[in-house]
Amino acid sequence: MAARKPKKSASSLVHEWAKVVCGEANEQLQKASPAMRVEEIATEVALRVETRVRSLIQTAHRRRVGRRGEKLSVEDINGALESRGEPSLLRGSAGSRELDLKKLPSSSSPPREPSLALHWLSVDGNQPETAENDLEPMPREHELYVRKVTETIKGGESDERKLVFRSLRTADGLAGVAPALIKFCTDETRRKRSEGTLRNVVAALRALVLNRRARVELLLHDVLPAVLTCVVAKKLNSEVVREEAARCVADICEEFGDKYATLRPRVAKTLADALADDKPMGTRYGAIVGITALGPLAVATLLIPDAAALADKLQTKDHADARACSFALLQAILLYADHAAAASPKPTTMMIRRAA
Amino acid sequence: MPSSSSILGRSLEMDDAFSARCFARAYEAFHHWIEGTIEPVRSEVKALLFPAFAHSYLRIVKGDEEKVAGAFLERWTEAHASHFPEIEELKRGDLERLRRSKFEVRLSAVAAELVGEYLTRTANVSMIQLLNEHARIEIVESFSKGGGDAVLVEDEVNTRSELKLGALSSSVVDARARAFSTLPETFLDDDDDKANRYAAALLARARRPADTVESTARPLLSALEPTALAFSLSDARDVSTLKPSRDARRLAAGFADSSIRVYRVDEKTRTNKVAHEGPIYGLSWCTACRYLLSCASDGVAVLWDTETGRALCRYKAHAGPAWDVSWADLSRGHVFATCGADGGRVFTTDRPDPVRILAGHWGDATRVTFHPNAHYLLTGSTDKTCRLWDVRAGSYCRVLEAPSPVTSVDVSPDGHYAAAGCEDGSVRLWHLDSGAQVASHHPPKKKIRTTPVYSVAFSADAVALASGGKDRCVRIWAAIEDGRLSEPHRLFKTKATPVFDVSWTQKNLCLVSGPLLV
Repeated sequence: MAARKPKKSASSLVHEWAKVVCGEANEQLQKASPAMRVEEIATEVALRVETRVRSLIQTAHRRRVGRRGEKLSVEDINGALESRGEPSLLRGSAGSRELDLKKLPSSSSPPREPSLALHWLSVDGNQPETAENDLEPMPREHELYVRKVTETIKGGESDERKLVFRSLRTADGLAGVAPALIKFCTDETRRKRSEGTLRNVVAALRALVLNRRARVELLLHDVLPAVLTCVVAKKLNSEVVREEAARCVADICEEFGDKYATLRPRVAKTLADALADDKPMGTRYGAIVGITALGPLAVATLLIPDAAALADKLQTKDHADARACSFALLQAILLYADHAAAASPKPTTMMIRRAA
Repeated sequence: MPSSSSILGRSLEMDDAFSARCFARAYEAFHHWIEGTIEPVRSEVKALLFPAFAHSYLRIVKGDEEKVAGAFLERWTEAHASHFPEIEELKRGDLERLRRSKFEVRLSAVAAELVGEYLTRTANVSMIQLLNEHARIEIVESFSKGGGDAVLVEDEVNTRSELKLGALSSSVVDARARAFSTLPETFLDDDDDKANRYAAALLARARRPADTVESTARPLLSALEPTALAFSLSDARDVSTLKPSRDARRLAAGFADSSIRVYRVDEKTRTNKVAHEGPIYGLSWCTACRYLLSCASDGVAVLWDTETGRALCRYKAHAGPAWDVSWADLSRGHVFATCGADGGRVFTTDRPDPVRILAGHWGDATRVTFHPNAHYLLTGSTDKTCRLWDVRAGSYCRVLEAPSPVTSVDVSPDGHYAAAGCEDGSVRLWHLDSGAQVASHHPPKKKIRTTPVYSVAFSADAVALASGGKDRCVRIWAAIEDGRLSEPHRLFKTKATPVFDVSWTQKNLCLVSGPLLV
């Protein structure tokens, strides 16, 4: 922007305006101060007016910078006027315009509540390739790798799949492509997909989690919700996917649980919530499998206290899902009993009998 | 200060070209008025003429109006024959000494009053500003005989007093450490028994000596290869200020509609509060991340308890807008400061009125932050200076000159350096003890005036300085290491997030926050 030009023209504009006004009031001015010429008075008036306007704009500008706004607003100028004890002059445009209520719902979406999102702007001095960061485009070889993986996940030969998963599990230098892969996977879990695809997606995520060089750690906030959804999803008709996802959650907890103290409790909360009575049977199945995968300690604290009640409820329903749930619960209790027997000389036979 | 150096409070910032024309006219009017005063006063106030003339000339030169400057010098040289050496300096273009010095003028109370009255009546803003900044007027009881000339003295504010910039005594630091160690150990605040029990069981297991978790004692992150976490607020067009707590678990957001929202990062919850009238301009978290201070255009500071979500106390701080608020970094002694058009104010939380009033800036004080040892505080102002204030004395002890109105300030954790970001996008660094500029960065000319630096922050180990602003970038300057700010050490661009705030946690994690503009 040419900063200078408009400024000069602003000054001369005020000057021209002052000339016109003083010219109109020529007679009165001559009476009041015969010694001065109209041009002199006009110059004086212009200078005073310009100083005043500039100082007003300056005060308003201060308010704009204070609220870190992009543009000067009506409120800024009104605020500046009020702070000088002058009546506010301008009104917002919305107040004067008539709105057609009938058209309103279709024309504009309702205002949304501001919401917070977090991402890594930089990790150890490097910017991760996430959607929020402004980066150079991905290198060609990365792009090819991502395309190959996504195609295989969507439906590839079984040999090919094995190869790809092994690569995801062990390959070096995946840190650059991991964000793109994880974005693809998490997007995929949100859509309605076939069982096979979802299973591949979860397997791919699990392979990435286990590959330390892929540095999934930085994207855990994307990975974990996606995988947990696969464990306890309401409309998912596949036990295999739930089981695979549960193993993936357990792997994540194993890998990062010590580093992030809130990780395990948070997973536990999600799973425990999914056991509630009003949840569909599939969700409860996922929760039981998920808790079992976390290990005996999780089973002891999250599952055992309610196990008897849960088992009773499951038995009243004669349904394939309910039977699967009962079976999963039994497995969980067996795991716990095994552990308890190994840890303490007193077996908790009472509880097992009740639960079974 | 014994002398009264201020004739009137406020000044007007003007762009240079306009001010050049104003100064020529303003000086002429002032000169004629002085020539026309009656005798005993005239010989006294004549002493003000040369300071006014010399600095008017400097302003005109700054405005790049060569013709005006030449004509101005030509016209008035004769009238200032007694100041021949200084005029020669001006003609040579040797302006540095004049710029850095102040003129000392002795005036009787009557004469000073007359000058003040004249300048106020005629609203001669240019002369008021100029005399405020460059003349130190000493009021004497009686008419001084013959009225001496103005004496040029080196401005000694920056060397006058010794500073105690060292760290706090160990007892205070211990207290702070205790405050940290008493942070609650439960991770989930809601009443989810099962999850809590599981967490407790995990903790109990972790505490067993067999597997004490070493990974919890993570080392300090590198500030030169920084790890930065970005908080972006979407659907928040009218957000006016953002501040993450230093444990990075909460984000406080102030809005132009006078509401405040606090977001909890790990719970995805938020609370909504209103206690102000007008846009929120500043927020500050206390060290323990529980209490929050806010200030707004209504000139009030409010203390919040974020656990209960209640406003605890209101402090009437300023007549105009309160631009910024800052806690003193202490676990005991609840002290905070605010700033506004009428200067800075220091409060203790138990009193509704300020315990110190910090007056001395010629423009609005727009940013405030405490020195780490809390004996001093630093303000940034639209008068293009930062000032370091002795909190106990309530007076300023260092003046740091910035290239344009200051929009952000910070003091290094070791207490020896200060940094400021300015409205034109420049970043400057000073050594506090000497008041000398250490390093400076100016953006390329074409970007000037469009990209204020909203926030600067020293890393926890004082190795790097982070700055962020309207240009949607975060820059990391390897500040103290090589003493130059020629190129940013690292530059991180966001796609559509103007950076409202940068800060560093104790572990040196860089926290960046801003609204997501789509």
